[in-house]
Amino acid sequence: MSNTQIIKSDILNEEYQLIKTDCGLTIACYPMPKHNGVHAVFATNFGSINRKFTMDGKEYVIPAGVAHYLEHKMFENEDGDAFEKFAKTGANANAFTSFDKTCYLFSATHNIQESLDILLSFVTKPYFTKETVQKEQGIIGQEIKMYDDSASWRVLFGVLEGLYHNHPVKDDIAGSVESIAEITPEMLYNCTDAFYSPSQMILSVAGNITAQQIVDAVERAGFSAKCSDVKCAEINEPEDIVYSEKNIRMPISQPLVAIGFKEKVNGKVTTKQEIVGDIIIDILTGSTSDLFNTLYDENIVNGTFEGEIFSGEDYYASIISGETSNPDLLIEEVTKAIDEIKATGITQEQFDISKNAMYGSMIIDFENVEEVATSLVNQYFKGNTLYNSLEVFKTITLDDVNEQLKTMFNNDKRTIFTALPLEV
Amino acid sequence: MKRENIQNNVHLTFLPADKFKRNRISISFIVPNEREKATMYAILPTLMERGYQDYPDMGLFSKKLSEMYGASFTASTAVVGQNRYLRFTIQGIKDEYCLNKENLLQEMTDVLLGVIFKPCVVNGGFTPDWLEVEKFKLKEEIEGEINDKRGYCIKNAQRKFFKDSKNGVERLGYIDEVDSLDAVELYNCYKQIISDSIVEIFVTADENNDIRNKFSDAFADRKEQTVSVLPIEVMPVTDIETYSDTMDIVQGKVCLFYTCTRPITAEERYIFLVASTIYGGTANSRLFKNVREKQSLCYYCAAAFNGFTCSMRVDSGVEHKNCDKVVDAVQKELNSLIDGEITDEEIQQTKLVLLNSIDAVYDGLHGLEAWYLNEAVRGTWDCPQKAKEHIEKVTKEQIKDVLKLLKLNVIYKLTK
Repeated sequence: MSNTQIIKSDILNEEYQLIKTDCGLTIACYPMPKHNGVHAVFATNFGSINRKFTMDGKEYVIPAGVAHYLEHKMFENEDGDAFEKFAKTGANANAFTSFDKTCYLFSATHNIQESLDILLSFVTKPYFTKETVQKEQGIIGQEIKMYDDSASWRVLFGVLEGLYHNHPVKDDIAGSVESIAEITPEMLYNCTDAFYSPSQMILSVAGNITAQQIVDAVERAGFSAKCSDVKCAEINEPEDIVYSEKNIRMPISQPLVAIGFKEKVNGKVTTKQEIVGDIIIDILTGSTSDLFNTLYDENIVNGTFEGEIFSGEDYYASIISGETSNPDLLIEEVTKAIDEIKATGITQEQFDISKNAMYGSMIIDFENVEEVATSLVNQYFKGNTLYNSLEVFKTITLDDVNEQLKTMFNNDKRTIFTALPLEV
Repeated sequence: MKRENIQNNVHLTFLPADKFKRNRISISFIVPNEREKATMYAILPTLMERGYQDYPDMGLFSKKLSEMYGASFTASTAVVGQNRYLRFTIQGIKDEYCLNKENLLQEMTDVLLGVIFKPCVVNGGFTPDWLEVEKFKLKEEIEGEINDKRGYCIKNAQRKFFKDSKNGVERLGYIDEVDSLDAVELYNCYKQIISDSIVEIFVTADENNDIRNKFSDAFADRKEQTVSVLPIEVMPVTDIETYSDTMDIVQGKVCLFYTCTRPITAEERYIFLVASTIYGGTANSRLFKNVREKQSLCYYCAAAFNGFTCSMRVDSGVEHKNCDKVVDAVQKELNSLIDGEITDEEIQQTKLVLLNSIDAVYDGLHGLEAWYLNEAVRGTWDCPQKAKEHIEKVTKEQIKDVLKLLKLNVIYKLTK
């Protein structure tokens, strides 16, 4: 075991290990011995927003949806389908692609070693032919169409398209039927060369397992230390927005509105900015807020009303959304509430209540194996330990919150996107 | 695990919590799924969830929960065969994680009992203003079923399949009855549920006598009960009925409902679990491998057997032009399981998947609670270990035999 770090939390009285193996792969092991099961995530820092990169000096530009396409195709190797192999161990296997990463995973209570061997094997043995690549277009096309029928998905991307000119976060993670038609085996191989070498990946495992068992599995996989020089291109995103308002019509029962604000990003988005944003949006729109309680009782919104911070390394937006019987009134009331809170600032009582609730929600994050293994991946790719958020959280003051509030929710950086029912 | 009958038809079960960061307490009231009370049963949880006498305002109640380190409170209702339950749940971090040494578990118990026994009442009825708001929300929710296209397709197929049976009484009630809901009538309905129902209380926490006594005292007025769990009603076999609705959607949907030719035994329920999982329960199932992967006919195609109604549902998201092909393929796959080969490997792998998922029941905060609540509605009390033993014994012949009991009643298509 070369280069092992033990990371501890005093609050939780728990610890985990971060191990850098000789082949360059990082292992995170969070032992949870009271649990029956194990959740393992093998992840690369390659998601839908990574559309332009250089590898060993050569530039590559790829269409929307490649990371997700690759995720689908990785399950198919020259020696068969990975799902069939997992079926032999009884593990529940899956994969997902997000904006900034691709994760291959399984949950299991038996045959953990065998499942780890399968996970490490299929993800690192890409096999693509023209025929298999073409065949997947039908299935992924169906997946894209399924999301086209989801109002909340359409409204989210409607807002993002309104806020961002160039940032690929505005594009659907799965791409479009047109963009995936451009995908070739060569393109997929270039991406696996760039992003699927051990040094680019993390194997995160939480549950009833020891670090040694994971290290043994990595050794059995026999990875060779291969390291290309890969750099993702910086995205040149202007501060202004693309459009301020748009509507679509689809078969839904009542309008769904999303109000998005493009927030300023100086360099990289920090954990502190994200947590402070969460506190602000909770105080403004959460279940204790006057805004929510008034709109709910006036039948303007229902339980779908929510605010969220939508952020990644170089993008940060505040999005307030919900079904409404009266979109104009909802927008007016949200605008009024934002003006008021910006004028008066957040009070100590509001801050204390929100912080208390958030502390509880952070503790819960350490309860189940899926959550822990996935959070380990997220925090690792951000360059943080798993306990970083708890540590940062403790330091946040009311002044921090009011300072950040001043910079947020600018009306000239606002996009409103509404899905309306079909006209009768 | 300890289950105790603490009052007339009131059972208290402590479940282990040592692996969790939270405690959880739930009270479920099990009642017959009566058609005439469906809309009242649907609105009651939403009304009561808003607050109670100590916190008589939605905002105040939310603040109280936030102060309790973001404890969550939910009230819901679900239909399970001919029965229905109304469930009230609170969960919050364990006392050991509280920053100021609060006794949060006791506080959670008090809040939960407060919601159930001290609702806000005006002139012998629930608060009229709250009722008006929740009526509006309930109508919105019923109308909103079209927003989830997959769920909408399943619900419509279910309506055609269950017709007027208690199995098919709507979880959310009926939209044309919402406006006439009356605050006093609702309060009387509430009182009846409190006094005459089967109550299952689950406390996922270390055993604690104070909590036990609080629940026992709270239900001390309960008299002899008239309510019992209703048995399984199997839908009769009909000629295949095919229905089509149109909607301006990008992806088409199909749902098929099968019924059993007779009620099944407790053992057969486990055989059906294995059989339906081989057929369409995993990414290695016949439907997934053949209909989705080999034939590329759809994005998803899954089967689920419901032991409470002895029915099996298959649903799929398809290109509009492929709807009929999927219907044929789904039936063909079922026939090939009955008439064709099922390999030992296939059975063994499916059993492993099921055994894995049963072991994982212990790892979720509400896993065991959900398990035993279903057992209570079923009138049995099988532990997960016993279920595993049943599953391990299932044979190929038994799988074929139970699948022969299935008859297709309804095909429902939702297309452009």
